[in-house]
Amino acid sequence: MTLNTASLAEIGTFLARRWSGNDRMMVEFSEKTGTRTRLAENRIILVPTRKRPGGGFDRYRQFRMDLWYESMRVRFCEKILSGDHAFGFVMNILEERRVEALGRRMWRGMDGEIVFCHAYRFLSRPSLGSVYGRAKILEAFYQHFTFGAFKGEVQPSHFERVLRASRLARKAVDRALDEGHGTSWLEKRTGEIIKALEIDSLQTVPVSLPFIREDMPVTENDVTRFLRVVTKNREGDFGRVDPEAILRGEGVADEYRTIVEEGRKAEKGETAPQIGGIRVPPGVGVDESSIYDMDLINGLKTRFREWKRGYRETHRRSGEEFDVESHLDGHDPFFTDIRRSIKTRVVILLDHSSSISADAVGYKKATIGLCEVMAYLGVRFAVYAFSTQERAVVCWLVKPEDARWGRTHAKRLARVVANGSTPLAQVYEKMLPALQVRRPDIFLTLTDGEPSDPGAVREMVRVIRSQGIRMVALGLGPGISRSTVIASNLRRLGYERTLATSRLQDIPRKVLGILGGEEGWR
Amino acid sequence: MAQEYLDWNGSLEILERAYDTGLFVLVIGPKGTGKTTLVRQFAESRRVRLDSINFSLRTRESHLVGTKTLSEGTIGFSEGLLVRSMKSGSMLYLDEINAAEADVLLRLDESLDDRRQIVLKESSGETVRAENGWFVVGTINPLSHSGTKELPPQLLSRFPVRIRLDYPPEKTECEIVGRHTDGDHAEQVLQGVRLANVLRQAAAVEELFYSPSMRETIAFGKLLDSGAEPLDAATMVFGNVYAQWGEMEYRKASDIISSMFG
Repeated sequence: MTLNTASLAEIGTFLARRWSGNDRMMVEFSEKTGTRTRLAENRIILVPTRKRPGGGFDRYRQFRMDLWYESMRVRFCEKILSGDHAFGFVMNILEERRVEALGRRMWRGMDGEIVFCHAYRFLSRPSLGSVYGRAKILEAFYQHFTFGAFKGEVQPSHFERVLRASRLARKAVDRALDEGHGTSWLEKRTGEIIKALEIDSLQTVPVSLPFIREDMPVTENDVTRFLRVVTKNREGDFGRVDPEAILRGEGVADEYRTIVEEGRKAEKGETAPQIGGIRVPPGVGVDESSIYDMDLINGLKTRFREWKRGYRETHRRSGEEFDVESHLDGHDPFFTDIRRSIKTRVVILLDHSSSISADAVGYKKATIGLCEVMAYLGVRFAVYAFSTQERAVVCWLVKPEDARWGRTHAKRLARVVANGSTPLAQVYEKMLPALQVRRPDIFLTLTDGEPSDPGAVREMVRVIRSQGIRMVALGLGPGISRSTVIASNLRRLGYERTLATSRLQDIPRKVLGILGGEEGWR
Repeated sequence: MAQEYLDWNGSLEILERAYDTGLFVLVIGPKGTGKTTLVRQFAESRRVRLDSINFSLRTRESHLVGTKTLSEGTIGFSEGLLVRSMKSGSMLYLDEINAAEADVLLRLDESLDDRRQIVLKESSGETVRAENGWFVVGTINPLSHSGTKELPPQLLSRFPVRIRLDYPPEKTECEIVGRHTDGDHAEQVLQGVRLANVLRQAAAVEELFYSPSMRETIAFGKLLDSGAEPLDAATMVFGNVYAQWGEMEYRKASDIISSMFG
């Protein structure tokens, strides 16, 4: 079973936001750096799961625990220092123990997973015999303080220093926890530990040290052996735990199976429409919350709730009184309850040429609002966008028709950078194979400019219409007169229906108006 | 068993002032934040009769105003709750007004204006005037709740005193749960309340589809009283509800639950 990065990023972002209490956190994966958190940027960067040791399930559990530790840092740390020098390295070790203890006060179900994570971390550390130079004492300190044991032999001259530093570190963390001190207080204590270790605080920590070797063969016996060491040495913190139960990880197993299954579905759903050179923007490593306008979304949902119910309420202070009996006499049936639903399948193409870049955020907010409402109304829809990248026009698949609208798709939209001209015919040509396979009822193009190749567009519109697809265009202009000109130009290109708007927030209403109208025609 | 309302944000005091000055009150807040308990407690403290009606799409004008009856060949009129309350000068509690249909709201609007009267056109056309001391408290759920809609502005203005009742702070919610339960599960109840808050926060930013109310935290406490394990109680009360929105939604909530209860 393999893990899909987009699915992991989605569940990872959800968990990081809940665990840290910060609704803007983002989770991304990078092969270039180890696990780290950038507080100012609200980003948690993790090592990809395939780079971790062990089987699929064990890799997922390590990912989940690294995420938890980083989330706890976000929740409880004032700052995070770089671990590439001795001072930052030691301080991060102390902070990790402090946030672990604080986190366990709220997330009490994590103990088993923490122990499991420690077993793998200990297993992944280098043997002290293979660490050379001044980094050796730092590694010895980390192992003793975190796991209560050494991997390999510690140099006799280092032994006393490491034990003394470890005791000091333990005392400092305990005091910080008892007296409620934070990062700054612990930072001041870090100097004492560095002094006890008799090293230079600016000493470089080799980059290779915290890395995990993904090619390391790991057997269940190895894990069990390290698990026993950790459970024994950390018994004071976690109490008596059953290593066998921890190894099974029953509390996380169902979650893992679901993520694998969802990832498999997502991959299956997204491979089919990629024919014809359509690309999928990466749905990770971007903050989609900046293009989520909750007021707009809630307002639209409230408005379209009436539409969905099939009747509209009006409040009038004057007029004829409604006479129920005469209504009953004159109307047969006197009441018809219509539950409306949009069965029209629609493909939306978003123009991301450079002219939209000034209003890109507003444009994306309106598009997200539209997608949220269409998902709410149960409309089957696909979203594409086009822009220019490296001098070539690229057609992006933001959301395939079969997938359920979610944050991953919003992230993909956030990824598309408005750039280049409006080569609509070229884009239509790229999309044609997918359109021929899918045959949507409506193909809606949202554009803010005139296409660079009107003749070719006219021809492509004719070709697509000949497939039985209704071609609709919505022109976006900076003012009423400009948007009207755009719409009238679009009409000349052979679209069956053209509309115009100068207000971005009107996009959802206009599009849903088209869909509602389409249902009326049926 | 009647439970005493824990007035954590001074709502009772606002009700006292409004009652003394004859101003009608609108309580705005999500489901399960103790709106009904607040009003019931206030009525008890003032020793006034409380007439309650819970609005829905099925609430008709006749439920409020009354309907004609035919008994042994004689046409009569059975008064609705609104008319009975006006005549007796009781306290009228209109729960979830924004779930009602427009025609119902219009009749309500008529009775709530400054004249405090209603014309019984369904009966003999007589005008019913409210007794002195007639007091009305309405509640509305936020628009994000299903089945709710915006209250017409003219009706909104009939309730010039507004109380915003949100979920209470963690400690207060634990205390409220403690009042409804009898076991000694303070630690587990605190975990349950924390879990509810995490899920509410996720729902507020639309990362989950459902936000648990205080009814659920109280139910969690009651299940602990019955001897249920905290993890099982949390799954039953907070977790399983998300299964209706698909496996991924359920798993998200389950993961948070397992992080808290193991």
